[in-house]
Amino acid sequence: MEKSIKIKQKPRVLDVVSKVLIAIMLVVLIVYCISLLILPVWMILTSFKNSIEYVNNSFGWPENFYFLNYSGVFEKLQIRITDFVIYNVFHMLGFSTLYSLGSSLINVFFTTCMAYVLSKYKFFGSNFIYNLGIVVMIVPIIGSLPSAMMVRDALGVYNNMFLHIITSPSTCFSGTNFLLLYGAFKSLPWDYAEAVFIDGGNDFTAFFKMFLPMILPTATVIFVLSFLGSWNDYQTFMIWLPDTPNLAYGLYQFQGVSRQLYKATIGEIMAGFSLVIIPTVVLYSASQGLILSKFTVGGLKG
Amino acid sequence: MKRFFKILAIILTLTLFGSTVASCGEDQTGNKYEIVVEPFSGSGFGYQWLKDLATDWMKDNPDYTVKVKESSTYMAGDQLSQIAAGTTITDVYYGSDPNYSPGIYKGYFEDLTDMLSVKPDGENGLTIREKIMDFDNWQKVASKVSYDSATDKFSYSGCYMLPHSITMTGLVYDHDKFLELGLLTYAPNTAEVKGQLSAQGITFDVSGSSLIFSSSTGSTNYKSGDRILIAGKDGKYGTYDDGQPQTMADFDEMVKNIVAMDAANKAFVYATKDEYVSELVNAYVVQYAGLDAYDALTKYDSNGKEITLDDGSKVVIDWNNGYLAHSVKGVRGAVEFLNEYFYKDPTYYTYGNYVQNAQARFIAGGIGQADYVAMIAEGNWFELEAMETLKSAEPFGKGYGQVDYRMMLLPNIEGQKGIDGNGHGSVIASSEAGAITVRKQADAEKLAAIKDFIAFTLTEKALSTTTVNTGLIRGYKYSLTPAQLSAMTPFVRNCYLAYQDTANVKVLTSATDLLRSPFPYAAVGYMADVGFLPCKGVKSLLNSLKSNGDVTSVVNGVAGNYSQSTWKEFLASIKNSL
Amino acid sequence: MQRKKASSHNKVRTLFILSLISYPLILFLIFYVFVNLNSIRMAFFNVKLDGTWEFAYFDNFITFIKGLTETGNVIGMSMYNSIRMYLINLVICMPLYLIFSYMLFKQCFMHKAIRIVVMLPQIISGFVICMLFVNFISGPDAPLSMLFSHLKIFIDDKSGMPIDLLYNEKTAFATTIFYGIWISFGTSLIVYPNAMKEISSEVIESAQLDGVSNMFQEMFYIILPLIFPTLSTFLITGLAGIFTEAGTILAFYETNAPDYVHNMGYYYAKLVKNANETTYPMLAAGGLLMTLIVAPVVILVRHLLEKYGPSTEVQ
Repeated sequence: MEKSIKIKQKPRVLDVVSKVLIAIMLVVLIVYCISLLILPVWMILTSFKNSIEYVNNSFGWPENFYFLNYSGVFEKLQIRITDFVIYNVFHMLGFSTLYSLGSSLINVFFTTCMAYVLSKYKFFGSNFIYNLGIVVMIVPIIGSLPSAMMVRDALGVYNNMFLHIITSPSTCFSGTNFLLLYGAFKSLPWDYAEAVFIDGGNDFTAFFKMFLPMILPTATVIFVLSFLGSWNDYQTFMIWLPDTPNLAYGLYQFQGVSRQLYKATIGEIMAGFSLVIIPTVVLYSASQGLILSKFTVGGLKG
Repeated sequence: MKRFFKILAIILTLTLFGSTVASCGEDQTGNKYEIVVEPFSGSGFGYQWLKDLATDWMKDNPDYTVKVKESSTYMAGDQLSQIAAGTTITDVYYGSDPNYSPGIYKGYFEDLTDMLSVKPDGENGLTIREKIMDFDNWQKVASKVSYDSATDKFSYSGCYMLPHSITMTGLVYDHDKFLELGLLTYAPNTAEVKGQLSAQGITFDVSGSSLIFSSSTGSTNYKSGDRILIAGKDGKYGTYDDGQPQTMADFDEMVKNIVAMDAANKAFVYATKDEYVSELVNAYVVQYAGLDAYDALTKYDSNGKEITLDDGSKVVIDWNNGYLAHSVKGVRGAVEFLNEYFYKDPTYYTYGNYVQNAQARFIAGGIGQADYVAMIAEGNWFELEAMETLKSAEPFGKGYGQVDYRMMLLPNIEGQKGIDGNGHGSVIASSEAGAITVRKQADAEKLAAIKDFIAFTLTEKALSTTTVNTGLIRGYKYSLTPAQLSAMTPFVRNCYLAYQDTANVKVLTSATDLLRSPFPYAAVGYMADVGFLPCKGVKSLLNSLKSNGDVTSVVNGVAGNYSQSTWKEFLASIKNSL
Repeated sequence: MQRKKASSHNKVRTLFILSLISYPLILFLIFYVFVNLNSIRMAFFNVKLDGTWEFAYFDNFITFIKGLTETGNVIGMSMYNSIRMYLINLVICMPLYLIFSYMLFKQCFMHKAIRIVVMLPQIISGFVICMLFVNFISGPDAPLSMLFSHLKIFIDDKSGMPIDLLYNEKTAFATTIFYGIWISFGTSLIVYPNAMKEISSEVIESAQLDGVSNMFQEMFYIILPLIFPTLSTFLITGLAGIFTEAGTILAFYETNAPDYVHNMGYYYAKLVKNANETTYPMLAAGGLLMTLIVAPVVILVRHLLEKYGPSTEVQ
């Protein structure tokens, strides 16, 4: 930012306009924030209403708090998998945690490795891989779902959560997470590694002992965001892992199929929603400070 | 950061717990002596009926165990992908929809042709072929179509599915409440009516202009002292349709009466998400345009007969010009009907997002402060599905089985072809119709056992007890004893009787009938899930009306579903893929 | 001695690099390269109902192009909506993101609370929020419908009932767009302020000495050039996803969306879910065609942004 900026004269009018605009936008922003709060509040209120009360009072304060909706969730939120296996809330909670933790950890780990290697080492093909990542990110491949289904089915990855998780980092050198980590590694000088080498360490120690700890806050942010994403992911389960439903997929079924099967009422569905968001809210509140400070996205330089 | 790791630790603990619990699921593999049966449990009918039948069958077949999956809500499409992925051990499907055709071509299912000559009720009984309501029709649904490019001919072979269930959709009303409000028509005191009553073996008293029931030699649904209503379409007194409006003008008068009684009254309630209202439109079109038009709309073949289009021209529909079927005359009238009562004037109707909400409004209507709602667009599963709400209505005498709910037949439409081509009869649309399929078996002995089990579920006794216990109507000819009839709830009984009254009522099973041509599963780009009267771009006629607001654009939308060139490609792709 | 050390060091280094990158690369070959090659192959075949394949030359491409060009056909409509969706987002969202981010960066009133609240859609499941939204605005029991009839606004003049925003031709597309924008601020309001934070206070101070006194100047002369890489990343990835992004339509309508809200991403998702398998090759062909169109555009835009965008020296 070397070039200096010369403003010919102070445009007073613009100053005023700018102040007014900011004031207006602040009001807009606050109204927007309030609008975001309406739905969760409505969800919680509705979760305490029975269906008759909802028909008469769809937004107001519940007249009688109807706690049975919550026990109804535990009773009715279940999915029958092929062949006599019925999963209840606790099973789904297990699958949710397993999947979110597993896929987030493995993805963050491999993305970190890739970002580190590509940002710190020049070797045959390193530029190619980096550019390939950019290409994968910006070149859309449209309509390969049927083909993906065929391949995954043939390899046994379809409907197998373990294989699904361990094969998930297939494009870990692409995407915003990669770029974020890549940028973070770039900003760390190589001198740290030299110091490790002088102390008799090798590339492994440089990475695991020196750079990894330094990058941990950024990696944690990515982990948390990725965890939130996979916790709430129902489409993956709908398409690839229908037999190991997580909570999000369970709820998807709950509000669709189970409305018929278990006659779930709107109150019970809202109670289900209220319950399923607890873990993510807790996790987010715990790591909020870190996310707010560390989440940046850089350019697509190739 | 510390706090974060603490939470991570908690989550890890939960995972361990979760995965331990999760791993407790049973691991089942196919077993020679175990027959796994998968009924659809998503609708109100449940699975218990099949479990009971399985228990009975196992008494005579102790070598085999029949396991009934208890909460399958999978549609045929999901089941096919499970078969493809090898993630199911189901041997027999009792599906709520019949869309197993792609699996038939892939060789997933057994050809059940030999079962057709089986006589489930013993030597003196009917064969399964004879039991099926309209076998020639069914065979097209259940067979594999092949195309011979040399002769440019299609041929049908095999029978891979058997009929399972049939549902009925229509306007449901509370008969007693209608009587109380004077919404039904009483039989006039004329010599003609009295003659008919006597001919039916009904004795009655005359009180002024009204005829009062006293007794009958045959079965009727009157109690002594009841005032006799006009006979319905069946021309018989004391049946499921007595007193109902006979013409559209009567219907209109009844609707206007309902809303005139109290400003808060509504004539109809329906659910916007589960659109049984469009089934009324479907029924209307067919009742008006006749069954050849129905065949034109569902199998793209009007049996060589001419159908009249909206512009007055007449055309014979076959696979080459199937796209023209949607221009059939009658669609306009049906959309006008929809517009008149279910859209244009909200004094007539109210609605709920989901069917549960609509049910709550209908059942609660008139209780306490709730506004009275006269009719709900629903199906013959209504009571079972609304069980929870009915329970809470029990203190008001409106609990499960306590109310004489009936389904209102569509009145005569001026100029209608009806179900006999001569202007007689009513059409009821079925929103679901299911099929039975058997997955390819490696073991001949087990296959024989499976077929025996299926035949067992098709005996007169099995068919009738299922209907009595659940209200589920099976797609076969069977009858109920008077004792069985009286064991049913009034509503289920009324529906069943309407279904059995084939001379006056035609239940359209479009879900299965659409499969009489290979278009739904073989034409590239054909949307298989739209039913037989979609509107281009919006699918649902009601939603189309809501967004366009005028009848003509909806009619055009229906007519313009497929263009001539699209249709040509459909036909080409069918020939390619068969 | 030294050479030996160097060579052993090189060996360790090669081992290190290989050990970290070979596994993801193998996965990439299988689940990306092979899957897509297979999809390309599929585009040239007909799949028969019994599962056998038959070479079909360019038939599938022709079918797709016909659909694209036929008036009123849903394929063309989907493509039009996809493009509209991208442009509207670009024109409405980008300026808002920047202004709001600027305000947060300047630590406006309640900026901390705002940054938490805007993340709500991400914290609460996107699916849950979506379902809440649908239940809240659509249908007669929905609180919003009640509000409409109470305030006598958004009333359908034909029926006199409040209109259903999701099922009215005039409002449906706008509603889906609105929803998309409405929930999208969370990430942006973290990423952009964070990018702005990296601008050193000296730069701003010296700019102020040079006469930069209001938001427009500060934004135009200082902030935009510095956050340009972040901005262009979003522009490019957005453009790249133009035909794959289904938005929330699948969750809103399941597979029953009216044609006028279809976009390409949704059209594909719906057909893979609903249509018969013989349709898949046509989809694969269409996908290939669209890739061939979008890819050069994206690469060109990226090139132009790099060449003519403000110069950026930020690492």
